[in-house]
Amino acid sequence: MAVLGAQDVHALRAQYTIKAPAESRALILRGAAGAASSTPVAFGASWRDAFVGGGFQHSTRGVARAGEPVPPNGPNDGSIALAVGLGDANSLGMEGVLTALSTVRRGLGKRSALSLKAHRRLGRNDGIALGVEHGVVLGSQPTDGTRSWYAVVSHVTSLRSAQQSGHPESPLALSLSAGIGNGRFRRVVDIRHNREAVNVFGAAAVAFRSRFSVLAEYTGQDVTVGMSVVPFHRWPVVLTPTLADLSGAASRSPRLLLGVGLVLQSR
Amino acid sequence: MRISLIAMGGRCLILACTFGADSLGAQTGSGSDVSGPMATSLAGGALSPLAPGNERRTRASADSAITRAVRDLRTENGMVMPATGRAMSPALSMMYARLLTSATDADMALVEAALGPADTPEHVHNVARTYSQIGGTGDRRIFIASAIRTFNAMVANASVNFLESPPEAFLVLHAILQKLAPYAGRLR
Repeated sequence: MAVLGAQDVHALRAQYTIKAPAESRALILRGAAGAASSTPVAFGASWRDAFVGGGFQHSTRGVARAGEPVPPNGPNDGSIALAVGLGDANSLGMEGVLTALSTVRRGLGKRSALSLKAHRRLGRNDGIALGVEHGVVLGSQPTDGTRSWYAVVSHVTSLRSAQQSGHPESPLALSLSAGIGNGRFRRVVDIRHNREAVNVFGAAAVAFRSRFSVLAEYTGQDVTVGMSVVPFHRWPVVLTPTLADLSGAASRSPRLLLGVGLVLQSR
Repeated sequence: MRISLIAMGGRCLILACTFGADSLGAQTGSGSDVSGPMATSLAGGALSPLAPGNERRTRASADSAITRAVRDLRTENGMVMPATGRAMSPALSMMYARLLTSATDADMALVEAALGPADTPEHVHNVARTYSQIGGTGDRRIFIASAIRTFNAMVANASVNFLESPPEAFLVLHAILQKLAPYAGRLR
């Protein structure tokens, strides 16, 4: 029998050595298509999760006062956001998002808001979250909106049997979210009359291989449809272009929105 | 609403809020601050349980993977040894399935005997013990990681003769742990 050299022995041991991905911490450089654009979902950032991004509106809403006709849409607007997670979504995670609501025209950071979301996974495919959007406003200028509390539940499921293939990445997945909230989640008529109220919202999305999804959502005021795309396999960049205010309930004509996010996760 | 307490420690965070008669406030002007893409949506679906990398690390997904492995071992469904490309022998499949579900001392002894020629009895015993714990109560991600660690230690200490012609029991165990590896947690 031939005597194996040191390299051969090393190769033999390497052949049977099992690599457990979680043994070493690594940066996950992969994005996933989103399930919503203008409504919250119950899944959020945990410890070692972070994301940055920007939101752009091709035109802002023309918001009518009570008894007045809806004015035309306004100029474009943008925001920049930075988010970090704490805790563990399997027990209790907390996502904090700092949004610079003023950017180019009025100066970066002149008007900012902090949004918080406490979230927890329930079993394999479900989650529940309680959050506040623009809970704390920072800066000298007032926000052009309102603080909004919400509670939301989300469910994701594989439409094709990823489990049977033994591959954990779902080839076709359905996401459903439903929630209640006040503030911006109120109906248009309540906002126009400045009435305190609670309303429902929801979102549905189908994702293909985590790279592309189509989504539809009811924000409490109007309907948004769009898509979410991860353009590069090894870059965790997510683009979410949508058309908002489709029914005309909240503004005179639909508006183009674009969200761009970069997600960093260390596991 | 007033945030009355935020306390953080390690991975834990407690947030206590009090609700008051705070006015909801009107949506002024165009409401552009609240009618664009929601900031928390910018992460896309990366934080969803089914996102790449996320599904693997949940307790529930590890539980499901173990359930599938037991089912496949019992039904000989698709359990092929990657080292040889051959299907597992039914007797060995059942032996390892039993060890995952209702391990007895006799089962442990059977597995240790089947792996016996590894000429590292201490490592063989550790592998059998940690493998039998995978199906136990608790965080199974950690159990999987522990079994993989002891298996790798056995490989690192096994003789060249053993690795050149390993017993089938070793190859079957390698295949099972390989399949569970994506669901392993991080050992502290």
